[in-house]
Amino acid sequence: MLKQIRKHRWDYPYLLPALGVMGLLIVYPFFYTIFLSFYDTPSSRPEIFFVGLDNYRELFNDATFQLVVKNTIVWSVFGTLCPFIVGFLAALLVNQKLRGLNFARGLMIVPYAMGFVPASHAWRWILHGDFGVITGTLQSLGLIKDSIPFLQQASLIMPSLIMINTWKSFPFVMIMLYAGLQTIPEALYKAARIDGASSWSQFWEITIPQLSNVLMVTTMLLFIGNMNQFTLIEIMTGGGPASLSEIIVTWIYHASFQTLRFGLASAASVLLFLVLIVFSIFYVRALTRSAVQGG
Amino acid sequence: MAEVSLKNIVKLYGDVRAVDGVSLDIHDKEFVTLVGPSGCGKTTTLHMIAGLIELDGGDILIGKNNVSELDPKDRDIAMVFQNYALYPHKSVRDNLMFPLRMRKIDKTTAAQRVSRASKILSIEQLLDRKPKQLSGGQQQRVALGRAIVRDPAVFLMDEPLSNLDAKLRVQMRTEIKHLQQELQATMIYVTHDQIEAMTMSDRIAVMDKGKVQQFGSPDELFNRPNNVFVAGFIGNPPMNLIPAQLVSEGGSKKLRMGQITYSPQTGHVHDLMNKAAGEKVIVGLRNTAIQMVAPGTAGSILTEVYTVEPTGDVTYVQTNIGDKMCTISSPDVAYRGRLGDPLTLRIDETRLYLFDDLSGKAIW
Repeated sequence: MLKQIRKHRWDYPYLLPALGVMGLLIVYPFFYTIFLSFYDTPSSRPEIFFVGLDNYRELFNDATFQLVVKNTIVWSVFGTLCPFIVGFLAALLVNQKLRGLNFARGLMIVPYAMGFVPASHAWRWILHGDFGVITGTLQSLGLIKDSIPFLQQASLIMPSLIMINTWKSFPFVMIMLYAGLQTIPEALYKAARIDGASSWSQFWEITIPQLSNVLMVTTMLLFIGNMNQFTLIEIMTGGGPASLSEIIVTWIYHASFQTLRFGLASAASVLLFLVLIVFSIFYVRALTRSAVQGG
Repeated sequence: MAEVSLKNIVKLYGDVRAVDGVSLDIHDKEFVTLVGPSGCGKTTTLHMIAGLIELDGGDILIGKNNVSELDPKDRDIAMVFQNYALYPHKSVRDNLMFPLRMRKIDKTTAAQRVSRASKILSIEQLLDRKPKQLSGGQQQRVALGRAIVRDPAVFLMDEPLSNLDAKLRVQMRTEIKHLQQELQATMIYVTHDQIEAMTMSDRIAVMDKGKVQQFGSPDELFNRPNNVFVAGFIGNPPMNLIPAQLVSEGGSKKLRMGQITYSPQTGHVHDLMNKAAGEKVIVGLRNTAIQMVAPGTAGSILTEVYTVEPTGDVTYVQTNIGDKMCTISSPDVAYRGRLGDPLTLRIDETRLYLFDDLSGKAIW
């Protein structure tokens, strides 16, 4: 080992630039965030003060933060589940050998190809209570009288956001699962048909087990992506009204750059990091297992 | 077990007639092989029997039932696939159980059947393994086991040995043949390997271009091929097929093969020549029907060595007869002629075949 290291000693300097960039962009902010989470950073003064676990205590006792955590759970769970179901159905559909499906496949990727910023702006207008095309259409059809305030009414905000996220993310699920479906050998279905399996049995006995790793990887990627989803929520609602659509990442941003409570925001970041690292472990496990098993 | 009848079955892919009016009557407990080159329609035919491909015409009967419109599961067949098609996430036991579970056979009976099948195939010690943990030969046995547990009327085998190495293939060939006899099963077997077909089958259907070229016992196909295709396909090495012209010289008919004008000595060949419809024919000679003889032998033809291919128990000599590269067997295994060495050859006329050049049909 030592001999090997000595043999390659002149190779190591080539790693330095990459290590430098990683250190600057990942390692330093990571440790600085942990460090800051134990400090109070009053905006009126240049110094910072060590406060121990006070920031964490404050988070656990803060009613707004509790609401934010609840929102985050609802958002992450349903924001994963809905695109997953729609994407899975779409993948099963485009996997059929039907005419015109190539075109449909292309069309369905459009939402995924669109950036989050333009898509969010577009949807904000579509859902607008007064000028939105949905309210407008329903009103001109005479189906409703009053406008529907999708992004203002408490019971409609989260469902609306989740609906948009479903529209935006289902193509990702579709592509992943479609790729997975393509790798299942046709002969397995033929064998199952001869063995007497119905379409339903084929789905449960072959498709699902054969896709299990792809399903796991896709779900984890989607879930982690949703927990970190800043753009869509910030543009659509900015977390409002009254924190009804605030999730942890948007809350961290607002706590840092609007109320300038960097210590408190750092504590929330550390908590979010701990949750995400657990899911990341599941993700990496599923990924390596699928690599070992070849899908 | 049951007999299987294919009645003029047709499969079209656009304008291509992949299976073009195939009719076969397969007896109960018979081992029948569909053999032919890639794209001849043999696998499509098998999949049509299985119900995996729909018919565009004709009927398929298993036993007395017309199964043409039935689902694969209702045809009472089992199939072994080229790549085994074992369910990768299930253990060997669960793979064997699967067809029984799907048919809602009670657990005790199912377990008995699995145990019997695994005993027949000597895979009892593999039951808890996953397919990935098995060798190719073991996977093949499991695939056979999955077919056996069903106790079907007909076994369908889609090139089951082509993924195995040469040595294992020979071994499994014997085992499948033995299994078929032990189970008294009707078996329809697809392969592109004519040796597999010859060694295993009661009868063989040689297919080409979606049609059955000949259906008969291995002996019939070898000794009385219907046409040029069968003659060239069956036998190893394949029959030498030499284009020839019938010419009249000095009042008797002769065969002109390239530069060689050959005067047949026997009435058999003269009979064949008289039956030929046109002047152009194809002379068919197995490698053993051309003999190397001493120089100066009466009625012999002269050629030269192109290459010599020793295989151990036989030595093949390649030589040009009438502009056609032909393979003959040297009577002396140790013969090692070199390029250009003179050869004196005598044709065993009792084993000479003539085919019509235009239709390719054998002249009898």
